[in-house]
Amino acid sequence: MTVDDYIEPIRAYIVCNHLDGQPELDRRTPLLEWGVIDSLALTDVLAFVEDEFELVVPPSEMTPENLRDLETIGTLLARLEAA
Amino acid sequence: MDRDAIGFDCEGGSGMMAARLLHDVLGEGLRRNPEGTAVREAGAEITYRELNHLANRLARALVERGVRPGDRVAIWLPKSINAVAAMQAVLRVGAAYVPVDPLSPAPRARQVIADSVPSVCVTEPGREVAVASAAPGVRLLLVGEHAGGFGESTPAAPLPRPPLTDASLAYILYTSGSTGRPKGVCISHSNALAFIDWARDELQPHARDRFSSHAPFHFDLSVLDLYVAFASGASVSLIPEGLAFVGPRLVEFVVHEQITIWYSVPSALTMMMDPGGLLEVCPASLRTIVFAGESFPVVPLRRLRAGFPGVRMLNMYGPTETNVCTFYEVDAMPDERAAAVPIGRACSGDRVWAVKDDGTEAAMGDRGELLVDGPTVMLGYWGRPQHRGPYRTGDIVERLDESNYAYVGRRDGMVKIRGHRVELGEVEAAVSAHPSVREAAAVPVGAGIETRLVAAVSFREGASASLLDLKKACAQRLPRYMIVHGVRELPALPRTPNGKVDRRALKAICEEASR
Repeated sequence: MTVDDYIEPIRAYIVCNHLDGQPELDRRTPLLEWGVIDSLALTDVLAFVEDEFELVVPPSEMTPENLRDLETIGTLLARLEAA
Repeated sequence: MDRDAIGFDCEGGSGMMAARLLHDVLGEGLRRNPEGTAVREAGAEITYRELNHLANRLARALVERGVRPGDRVAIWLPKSINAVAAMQAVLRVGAAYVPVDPLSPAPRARQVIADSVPSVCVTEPGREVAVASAAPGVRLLLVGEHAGGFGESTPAAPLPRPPLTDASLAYILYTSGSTGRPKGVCISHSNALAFIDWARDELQPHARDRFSSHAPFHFDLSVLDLYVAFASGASVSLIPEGLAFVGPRLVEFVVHEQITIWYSVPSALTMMMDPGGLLEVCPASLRTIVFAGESFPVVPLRRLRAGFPGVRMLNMYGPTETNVCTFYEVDAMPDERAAAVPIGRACSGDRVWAVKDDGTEAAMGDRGELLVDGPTVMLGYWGRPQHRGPYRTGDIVERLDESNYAYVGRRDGMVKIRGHRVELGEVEAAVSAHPSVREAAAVPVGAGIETRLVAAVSFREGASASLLDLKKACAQRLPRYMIVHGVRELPALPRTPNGKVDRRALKAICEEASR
């Protein structure tokens, strides 16, 4: 899967579950910095990612840099899949 | 700023020069365990001897930049060995440190820096402009990679002891303020030491212990992590601030660092259990778990208690203004217990009691506001007159027996979001700053770890803003834990007959909408 293949489902999931359905989230919107996902929501989004893509995100990869926005999350997942 | 407001050299200390000061605690660890590790961060560690030298060199660099006893020094750094050393250096010069939340947006950091009027700001390269705009004329000490603010060439010999009493200001912790601006809680050397000495005696740490440091340095929980570890020559492992609530990361950290004494808000422990798998991993190194900052809901606490039968568990309580003033040992969680565990009885040399609405002291079974008097009660708020007498916590408690109390709720608009103190007025000021917003109220919805902050908003005619817009407005002014989770648009905010925002009605509206 490409980075884009990961981004769209996660975007849709966050918009639906953490942004009251408002679709204005783009791939560079800062997720942690703007509080789009806080600590609780992060747990929920990671659970979605692991179920949806059958990937395990190791704790060592759960860094602010990797989780900054949809682009960095997509890049991380593509890298994990390739590994 | 009125320097006389809060004591540089104020009365009430237990003597000049000879008084034990907060930074002497690091010296106690140095004597016990000079070659032992004092602080660990990701990928680095420092021994007591090295930390002592680093603090001395930083202290000399501060003096070179003009810091004098009685000054304030802002520390705007990531949670790191350098930040710990900078705190010790500031104290050694006789100044007071002001930790600035490294995750706060620049306007918020600038507000704290400007309010505390520091003579120097210790920070990283890249933040020079932000500091200069907050406090023109403030000098910088840059540390970290490529900083070159000080180096091996700066001597590591100690400076002469500063002319302080133990009633002098040691640090200022900024907390959420009800007026929409953060306020600085001023803690003296003796305030901090009264708590640290009590906690050391209660926890009985030894030099082989490994403390976790979960709380950020601008949060008063961090005082235990650092100074009780130093008092005993133990080591403290710093958890990076960005992911302090990612359960699996925290559990991995406990295992990797072989943590023996864990201290955090209950929310972190809850997330360590689920999804972190703490009870399944069950790290064998843990011998004491301490929590504070909010009520620990009964159900997860019962699981935690059952999962670690041999581990000591302590619930500590106290607002930043008094540090920890009561504690309760959670030795059992019987099935019939439905209420949260008590905040317990007085500690740190303090006296606590509850006062009912009619002004009389609460008897057993009565409820009232908790008052605290004693050695940990703050000097006052920065820039305001010195505090005198008992501190009124604003917390309503129930008196359970001769000496134990249980937390019931708040008197005012302060709420706790995962252990962080949030004044609703400050959130409302940030949301109202959005140009589309006519008026806004912040409403806590839900309970415990699920608490969400909803902004009830009435927009200007023809204008509107999305949840993302309002989150962004918050993020520009507030720490992350104060960013609203949801928005509820209303034609107008409901009012009580006397014209105040009807918070009870708002809460009902927002609770309904979130279902």
